[in-house]
Amino acid sequence: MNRIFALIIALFISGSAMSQISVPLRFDKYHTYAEVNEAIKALNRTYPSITKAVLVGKTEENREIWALEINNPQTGNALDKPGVYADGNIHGNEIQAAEVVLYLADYLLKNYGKIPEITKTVDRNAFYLIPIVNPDGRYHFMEGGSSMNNNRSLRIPRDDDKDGLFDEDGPNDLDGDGNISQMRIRDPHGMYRTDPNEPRLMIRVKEGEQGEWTLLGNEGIDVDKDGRLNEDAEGYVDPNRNWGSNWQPDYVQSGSGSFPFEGVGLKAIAEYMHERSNIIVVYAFHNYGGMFLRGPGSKFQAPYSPMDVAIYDILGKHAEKMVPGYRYLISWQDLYTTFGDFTDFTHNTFGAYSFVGELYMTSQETYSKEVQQVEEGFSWQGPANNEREIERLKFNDQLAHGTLFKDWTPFNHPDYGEIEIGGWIKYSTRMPHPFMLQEMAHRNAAAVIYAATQTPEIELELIRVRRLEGRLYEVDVRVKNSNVIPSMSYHAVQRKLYPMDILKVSGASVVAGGQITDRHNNKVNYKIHRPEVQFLQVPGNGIAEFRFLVEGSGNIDLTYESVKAGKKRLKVSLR
Amino acid sequence: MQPLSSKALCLMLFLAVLTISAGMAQSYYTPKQLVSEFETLARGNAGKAKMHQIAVSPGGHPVIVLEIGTEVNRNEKLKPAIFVAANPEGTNPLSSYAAVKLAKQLVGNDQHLNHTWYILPVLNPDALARYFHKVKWENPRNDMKVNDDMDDAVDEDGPNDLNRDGFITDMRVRDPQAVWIVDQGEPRLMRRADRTKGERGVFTLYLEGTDDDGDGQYNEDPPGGVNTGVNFPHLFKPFTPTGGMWPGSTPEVYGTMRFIFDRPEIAATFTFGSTNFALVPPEGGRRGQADFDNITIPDEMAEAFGVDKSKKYTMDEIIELLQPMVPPGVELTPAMVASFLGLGGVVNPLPEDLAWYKELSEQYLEYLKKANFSTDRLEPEKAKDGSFELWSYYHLGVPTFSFNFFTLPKAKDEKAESSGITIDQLENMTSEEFIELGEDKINAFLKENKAPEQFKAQQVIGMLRSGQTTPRQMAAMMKSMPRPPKPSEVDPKLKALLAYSDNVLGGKGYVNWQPYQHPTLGAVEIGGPVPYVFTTPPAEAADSLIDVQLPWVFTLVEKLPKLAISDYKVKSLGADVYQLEIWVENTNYLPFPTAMGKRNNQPAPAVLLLESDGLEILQGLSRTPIRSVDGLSFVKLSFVIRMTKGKTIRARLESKSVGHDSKEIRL
Repeated sequence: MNRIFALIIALFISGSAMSQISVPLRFDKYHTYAEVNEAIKALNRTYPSITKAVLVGKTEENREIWALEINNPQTGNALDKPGVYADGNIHGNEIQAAEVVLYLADYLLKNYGKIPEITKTVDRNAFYLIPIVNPDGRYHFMEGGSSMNNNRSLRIPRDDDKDGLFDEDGPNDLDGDGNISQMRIRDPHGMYRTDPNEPRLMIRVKEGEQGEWTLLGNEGIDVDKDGRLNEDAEGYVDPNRNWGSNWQPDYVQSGSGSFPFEGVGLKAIAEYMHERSNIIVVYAFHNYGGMFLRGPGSKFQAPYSPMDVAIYDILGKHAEKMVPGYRYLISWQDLYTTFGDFTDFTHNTFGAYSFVGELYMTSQETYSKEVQQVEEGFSWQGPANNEREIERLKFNDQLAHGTLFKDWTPFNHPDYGEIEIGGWIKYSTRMPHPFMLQEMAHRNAAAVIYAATQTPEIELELIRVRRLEGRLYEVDVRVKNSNVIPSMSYHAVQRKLYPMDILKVSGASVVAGGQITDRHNNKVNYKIHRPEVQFLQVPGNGIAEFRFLVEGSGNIDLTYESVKAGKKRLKVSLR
Repeated sequence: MQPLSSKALCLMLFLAVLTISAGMAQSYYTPKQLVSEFETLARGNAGKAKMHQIAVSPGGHPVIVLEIGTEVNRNEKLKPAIFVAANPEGTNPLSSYAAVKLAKQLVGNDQHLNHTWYILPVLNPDALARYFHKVKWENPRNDMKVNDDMDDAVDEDGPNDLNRDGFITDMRVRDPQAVWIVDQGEPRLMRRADRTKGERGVFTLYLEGTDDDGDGQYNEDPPGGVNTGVNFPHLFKPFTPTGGMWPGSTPEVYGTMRFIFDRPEIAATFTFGSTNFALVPPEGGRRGQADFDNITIPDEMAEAFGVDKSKKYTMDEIIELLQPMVPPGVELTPAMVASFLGLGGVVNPLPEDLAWYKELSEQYLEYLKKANFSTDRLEPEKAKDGSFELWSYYHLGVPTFSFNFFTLPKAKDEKAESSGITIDQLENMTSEEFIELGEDKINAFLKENKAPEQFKAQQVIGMLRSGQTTPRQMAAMMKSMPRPPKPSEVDPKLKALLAYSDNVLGGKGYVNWQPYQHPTLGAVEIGGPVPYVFTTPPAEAADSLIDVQLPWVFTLVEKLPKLAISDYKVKSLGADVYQLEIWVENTNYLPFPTAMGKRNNQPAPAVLLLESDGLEILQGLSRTPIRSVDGLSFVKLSFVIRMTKGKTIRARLESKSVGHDSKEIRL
C-alpha cells in the first residue's frame, strides 16, 4: 500500500515537472537535471523527423546521460556529414553550460525552415548535443545544499584527507537554505572587521587595529572530529582531468582519478563519440572567466601543428568577437597546465577542432553609468577588492533584488555556538542572473553555429577529359573545399588517427594516377600501386587535384569518401 | 646422430636436472583450458576459490581472475592481497602455465593463505590463442580490429605461411638497397653490412608473406590490434601501431585497472611474463622533470611569486615559499605544487626503492645458486612503456615483482667477455664494490660501454681509490657520452638461439633458409627463428623451470610490510590526565609504503584508533592515519588524554593492505 502511494506521489511529481517544459524552451530560468532531460525529450517529440534522443550512458549514481542528435535524414546519414559536438556542465556546479547547449538545440530546431542559414547548417551537418555531462553534479548542486564551488566532481568517493575514510567530512547546509555560505564568529581578536562602507563586507584589520570577526570557512561542522572543517567533501575526481589523453595520476595533478575513464559516464561519452567518427568540431562549455580555450593542456605534449593552429585561430578569433569580453587563449600557456582534459582528448584522439567555452564574467554584474571593460580571468591575487564587491552588491540589490547575496544571519552552531552565516549564494558569481542568461546562451551558441558553418564543404569537379590514344584517356579532377575547416585535421593526418579521404575511380582500368602537385607545370606525383585509389586531405578553402590515365570507354565513376567530410560522386564520360 | 659437444652436454644436463619432478606438462594451456582449469579449481574449493570475470576480450574470450583465500565470501577483506598478472602480452604460454601451478599450490595448502591471492592467468587471451593456431605467428595483438595502414580495408594484409611449415618466419630477398649480409662465422645468421669496412648489403628482410592488398607493402595490416602489454597508463605512448588509442582503450586492460583499484587490500603485484624485477630491478635513466630536489620555477610564475627563476629549488623550499600566499586553512602538498608547476610524473624508480630491489635480487641470485639453477642466461627483457609492471610500480605504489621463468642460455663465446654489469648498476655501486670486480671485468665493462681508449681498468681503479671520481660520476659521464653506432655484429640473442636450437631442440628452433619463388618478390629465401622459441621452452621443461623459481614468490610475499602495535607507554600527568605513547612497528623487511607509494599517496593509509567510553583526547586524534613506516622500523604516536583511572582503552590498528592489530591499554 505504501509503495503504491509512493508511486502515485512520484508520478505526480515527475508529471508536474514535465508539464513545465514546453517547446520552444524558456531561458529565463535554470533547468533542474530532470527538466533538462525532459527538455531533450520534448524537443525530440516536437521535431521527431530531424532529432533523436539518445541515452549515452549512466553515471556513478545511476543517473542517465542524454544526448540530443539533430540530423535531417532527407539530406543524408548523420555519419556522412561533418559532425558538430557540443556539451556542457562537465563540472557539476557549472550549470549554465547546459542551458547554452539546450539553447543551441532549441534555436537550431525552431528556426529550421525559417532562417536560411540555420536551415542550411541543419541540413548539412550532424549535431551531437549533450547538455549535462555530469548529471550527478548538477543534481546535487541544484537539489542539495551547495556552494558555488561544490559538486564539481564525479561521484567517486576519494579519501582526500588520507585518513582512511571516504567523503566523510563535506560541508553542511546548516540553515537548510540550499546554500553552503560562509560562517563568521564575533571575535575581538579576529583578523577582520566590518567594512565601514558596506556592512555586509569585511576588511582585514591592520597591525594594531581591533578585530571584530574570525572567518570560520564554508558552512559546516567537523563531522569526523579531526580538527579540520569540510576537508573531505564529495570526490574529488575532476571530470575534466580523467580523459585518456596525456593523462597523469593524482599525485601529478590532483583530481585525475585512479586511472583514465574511471568515470563510467565519461567512458560512455568517449565510446559514444568514438562511434560518431564524423565529429570534427567540439565545443565544451564550462564556467567562468569569459574565455575560449584551445589545447594543448600541457607543455609535455608537442605543440599543435601550425596548420591546425591557423584553423583554431580563425574559429577562436571569430568566437571572441561574437561574445564581447571573452578571450581566445591557449590552455597551458595562458592559463595553467592540465592533464587528461576533454578537449585535448577530442583533438588528439578524434582529430576534432576542440574548444572550451568558459561562460560568464562576473564583471558583467555592473551598477554604473559607464559601459565597463573589466579585464577578468585567472588571478594570483585571490578575490577582487571591496570596491568592486560593493558595486556587485548594488547589482544584487537593484537588479537581482537581493537574491544573489545572503545577508549575515545569526545561527547557533553545534560546535562554535553563536555564529553568523552569509555571503554570495551558489547561483551567484560563476553564472549570470537568469535575466542575462538568454543573451549569454545566444552569443555562445552562435559561436558553435559559426564553427558548424565552417565545417568542410566538399565538391568534386571535372577539370577536363583528354583522349590520348585509342581507349586511353587523361582525366583531371578537382576535390574542392569551400569552407575554413579542412576535410581532416593536420594532426589526424600526421598521427594516422584514421584513414585519409579516399578518391576512387571505377568503371574502367586505371593505368596510372596521382595527385597533381603543380598544375601549371604539369607535375603529377603518380601512385604506383593501386592507382585507382588515391588518399588525400582537402585543406580549408583549398583543393586537391588528381590525374588519372584511364583505359576504357563510356562512363567512369569517381567517388570521394571522407570520415568527416562526407561522400561525393561524379560521373565522367570518356570521350 | 652426431657426437655431442661438451657445450651441448652441459645444456642437456641443465634441462635434465630440472625435469626430474613428477607430472610433466605435455602442452601449454589454451585460453579455454585456462578458464576450465580455474573453473574446476573454483568448483572443487568452494569457500576458498572464486572466479571473477573482469572483461571480455575483443576476440570474445573471457578475461578471468581466480581469487584464492580464506575470505572469498567477504566483500571487505581483512587480509592483505597479492595480485598476479600472468602473460600480459599473451605471447608467453609458460607464464600462464606458472599461474595455474601457483593456483593449484595455493588451494592445495593453506600455508600461504594469510594473504588473499588474485590470479589473472592471461591478460591477452586473444594473442595466447594464436600460439595454438595451425600456423604459429608470434604477435601480441589482441583481436581488436585496427586499420594499421589507414587504407580502405581492415586487417587485409597479414603474414602468410608460404612454405607451409606451420611457422611465420622471415623472408630474405636480394636487393640493391639491402642492409643485411650473411655472417661468415655462422652462415645461417645475418648481420648489418658495415659500410665503413667496404661491405655492401645483400639481403632485405621481410616477414613471411605476400602483398595481399597489392599496395606495394608486405604484411602491413595484419589481423588484430592492441597489445595489452603496453596499454597501461604509465608512460603510455599514443599514436603507435599496437598501443591502442588511449591507455585502457582495450577492455582487458580497463577491466584489470578497475579490478585492482576496487581492491585496496592489494599489497603487491607479481607479473609472470618477459621481465624479471626479482632479478633485475626496473630500469632508470629516463629523462624526467619530476626531480623534487631540482625544480625550476617557470618564468611567468617566478615573476608572480617574486622568486629567482634561474635558481633550482627543492619541493620543501617551494612549499615554504608558497604557503603564505594560499588562503588560510589550505595546506599545500607536494602533489598540489607539482601539479601547479606542471612538473609531470615520476619516470625513474626512486633510489630508496632500488636499494631493496637490489638487495632482494642478490638474495634471489644466492637462492638460485643454491638450487643449482643456472643463471647464465640471456637477460630478461626490459619493461616496456605502458606495461602492467611499470604501471603497478609507479601508479599503485606497491612492491612490484616480475618473473620470466625462461630465457635462452647464453651462447658460450658471448659470456666470456661480458662484464655482467650495466651503467645503471654502476651508478649505485660503491668504489670498493666496483674495484672488487677486478681488472678484467672492468676492462670488459669499459669496452662494452665504449669508454674512450685512454680509460683502462688500472687507471680507473686509481682514480676511484684517490677519490678523483666516484662510480656515480663515472656513470653520469658514461651516460652523457654520445653513443657510437653499434658495431656490425650478429645479435647475441640469435647466437644463443642457434646454440640452443642445435644442442637442445635438435635444430627445431630455427628454420634454415630455403629458396622459395615469391609471387611478387621473385626468388626469396625463407627461414629464421621459430616463433615463440625465445620465451617458450618445450612444455615438458615447464615444471622443472617453474618449480625452482616459483617458491621465491612466497619468500618475497613474506617480506611485505606488516604493521603491529608493538608497545605503549602511559605517563600520568596528574588528575586523570595522561600522556600516552604508542609504537607502531613494521615487522617485515619491505617499507610501508614504497618510496613511490609515498610520492603518489598510495596505497591506503593504516589508521590507529583509540576507543573507550568516556575517553577524551586532548591532543591527537581518535583516528590517526599512519602514512609510512620503514621496513623493520617504528613510528611513535603521542597523545594527551583524560580518562578515569583504572579504565582500559582499546588501541586498534586498521589497514587495507598491511594487517590489523589491537591492544588493551590499562591506565
